[in-house]
Amino acid sequence: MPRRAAWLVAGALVAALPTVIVSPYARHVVITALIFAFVALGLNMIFGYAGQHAFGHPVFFGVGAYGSALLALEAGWPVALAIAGGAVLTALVAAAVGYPCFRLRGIYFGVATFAFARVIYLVAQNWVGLTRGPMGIPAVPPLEVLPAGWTGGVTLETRLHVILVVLLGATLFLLSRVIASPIGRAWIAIRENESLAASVGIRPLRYKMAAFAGGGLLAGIGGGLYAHYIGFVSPTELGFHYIGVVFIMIIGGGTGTLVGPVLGALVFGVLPEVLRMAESARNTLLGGILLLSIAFLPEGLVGVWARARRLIDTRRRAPAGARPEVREPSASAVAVPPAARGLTPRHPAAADDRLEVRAVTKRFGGLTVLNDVTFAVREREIVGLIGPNGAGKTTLFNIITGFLPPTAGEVAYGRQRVSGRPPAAVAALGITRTFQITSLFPELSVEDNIRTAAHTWARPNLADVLSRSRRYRATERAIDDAVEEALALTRLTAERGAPARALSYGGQRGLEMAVALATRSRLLLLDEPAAGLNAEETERLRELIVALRATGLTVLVIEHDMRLVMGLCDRVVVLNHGEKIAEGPPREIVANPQVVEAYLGTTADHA
Amino acid sequence: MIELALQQVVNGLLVGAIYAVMALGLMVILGILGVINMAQGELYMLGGYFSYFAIALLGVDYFTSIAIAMLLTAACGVVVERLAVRPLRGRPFFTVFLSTFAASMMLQDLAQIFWTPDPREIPTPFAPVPIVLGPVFVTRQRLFLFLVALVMVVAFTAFLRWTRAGMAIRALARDRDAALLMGINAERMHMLTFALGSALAAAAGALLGAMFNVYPTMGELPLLKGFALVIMGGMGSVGGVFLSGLILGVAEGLTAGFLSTRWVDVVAFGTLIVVLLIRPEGLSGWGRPRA
Repeated sequence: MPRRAAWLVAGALVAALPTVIVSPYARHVVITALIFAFVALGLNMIFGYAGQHAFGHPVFFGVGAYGSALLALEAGWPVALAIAGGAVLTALVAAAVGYPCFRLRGIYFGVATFAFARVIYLVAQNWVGLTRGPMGIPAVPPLEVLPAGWTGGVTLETRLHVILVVLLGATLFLLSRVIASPIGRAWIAIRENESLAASVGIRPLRYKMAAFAGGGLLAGIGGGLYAHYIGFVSPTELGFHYIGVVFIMIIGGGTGTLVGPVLGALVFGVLPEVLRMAESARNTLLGGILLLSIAFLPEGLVGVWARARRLIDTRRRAPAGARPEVREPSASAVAVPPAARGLTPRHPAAADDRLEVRAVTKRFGGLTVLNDVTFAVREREIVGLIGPNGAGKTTLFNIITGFLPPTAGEVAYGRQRVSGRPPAAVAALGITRTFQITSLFPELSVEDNIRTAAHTWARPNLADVLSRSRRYRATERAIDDAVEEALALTRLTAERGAPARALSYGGQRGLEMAVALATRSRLLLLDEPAAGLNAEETERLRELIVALRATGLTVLVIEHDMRLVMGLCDRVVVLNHGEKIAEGPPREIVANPQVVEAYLGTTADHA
Repeated sequence: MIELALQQVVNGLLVGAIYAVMALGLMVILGILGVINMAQGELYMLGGYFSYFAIALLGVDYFTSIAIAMLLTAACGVVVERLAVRPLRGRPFFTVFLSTFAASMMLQDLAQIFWTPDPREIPTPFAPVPIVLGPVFVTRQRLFLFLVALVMVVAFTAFLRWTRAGMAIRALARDRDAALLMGINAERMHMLTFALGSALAAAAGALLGAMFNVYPTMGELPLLKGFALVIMGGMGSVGGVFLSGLILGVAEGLTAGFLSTRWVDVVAFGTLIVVLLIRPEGLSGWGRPRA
């Protein structure tokens, strides 16, 4: 394993730094940078991976520092335990702050976390009884893991340096496992497309909270280490300054990459000190670096490195001539289902698996979009939902899948009540939708798009993820099988490595189907799947849907292409101005004068 | 007891109006450029310093110094826009947010370096004798502050409503693409907007700086209070922001009077958090039918 070996060598080199660096000041700078790597990794979890603008997050560094210092001094805990306790405490504080903040979105969320950060600062300033106020807490004992009297022949700083490198290595190792697991995929999915994430069964709040509190844990570890290293904690540790510092580290290093924050901490944590203007113009320098890295290093150092490698790779490969296109033999899509085991619905079929829409009404303000709509979709049926634009079809989909609450009425699936559940919970019942406007995880590869959608049926616990247990590996293999099948069914195997945004329009619509299939739901709601497809692609779509029904799926489809509806659906439900005006087999529907009038705006007699 | 409460309410009202001026500056930049300008607090600080130096070096009176401060700060705002905002057009919202935060760090640090962290006092011509209005006392300075704030808010509204530039700005805020099709020069309007927002911050800085002294970090809290008001006011409503400013001022006044001056600043953030949680769309939307 050359990759793992390379990591070990890199770690050993960093650990051996004190033998090269003799100046105590330089050693101090390196230790500080290593400590901040933890804080940067924490922010990267919530900001880089989960994509939440948690502007105030770096303040948890200070919470960890206070927590650990107080546990060691006031409660008399041993230092190592105090750091761990402080980190856990920080995670709890983060959870308490995160929960209300996540009611907000985007920049409002960021502003709210910032407001909390300031409140925490003010509490540290003013709750003198606990924190000793602006004076700070002096004489925080240092971290020592060797038994008393042992020194290992090196100074306290050197010992701490080695501890930090080992701890950081272990953290990175575990973090890499989490990121590669369904947990990490869920975070990235939320960052890329929260609605789609929810519709494939990822509960956004749960995972955002996990990233926020988990990031708080790492920041807290950093804070505790810092407190016991410096030996003093004051409200400064909760100030503005660190927010900028930590953001520079992750943006300059590489947002949303594993080692980027560590690299950023080592480079940008050291840089201002090395420039020797540290005392007089520190923030000017940091601000300037932040500005420049935003403008010129949007992908961070890791991005620069990746780009350089790609450049070298293409140079090297160029003489060998153009690579041959790898194309799967284009077998008919219909051939697959009998063998398809990886994608069979995860819930066993039950006799009463019907989707029932009961008297659903939806009003926006004074506008009635749906009025008393009732119909049912039986097991293994393909039902078309048609109607002119603005008839309320997509609104109905939004209500069935939990994106909107109905004003009156309810939706049930089998014996379960569907309305009232959030989208992810609806997905957990085995109902998955696609979206009218193409909705994918644009930056993820085709296969990772599909892999993410396995979330509802392959969700390991944290212990399994961290230990890579047998059970975990079996589940990952099952996911791989499902991904292969979904790729084959939608003929995307050749493009599996390409980012979703690079696919053709037809390819993207196909990928949406693959994503929906990978949830292994019993009921698919397709919102205009054929929109924008050419005749050949539409025919392939029809074959695919028919084939899926053979494997036990039920399909409710919104579609304007009447030829597709006629050739595909067992029954059709027609909406017009929010009311159901007809329901029946396609042949009857096209002959229904009310339907004709709705579409043509005039009665059959006049026409 | 009642008298103390009344006194604090009046004090709060008078100061709260200035918070609203600060918030309007933030709001107009957010509305037109879609940028939360984190450097707004430093522009406020610059307003305070420019007023101080205008008096100390040029020997002008306090009132003229406010006008000078507004002009100079407007120029600084344009520079911030050029360096930290314009090069990032088209990049994600949060990227620009961080970039203005970087500008804020730099400006604050430069002020520390060149002007030292020591607070400075802006000399004002106000007589120290307060005006007695029944049971409450009002210092002449506070009254002046309130009147200027009122004038600013009215002038700002009038500018937006009746001038060509104001109309162009409103058009950009309402429908950017349509406004561009009508031939509005977006670059120029962005510059103007930043200048305007900076001038408002400078006015607030010169006015409050005269009351609480001038120092490099003086802008941190007003920035956050401004934020709170923009959000409480319902994003884009001048009246909502003004009302929220008054409410915040009164809440702070009562906290200072009955609890402790130490917790005054917590009130601002506490209010912000509570408003965000119960009513993310702000106060001005109150009473409208819910979707």
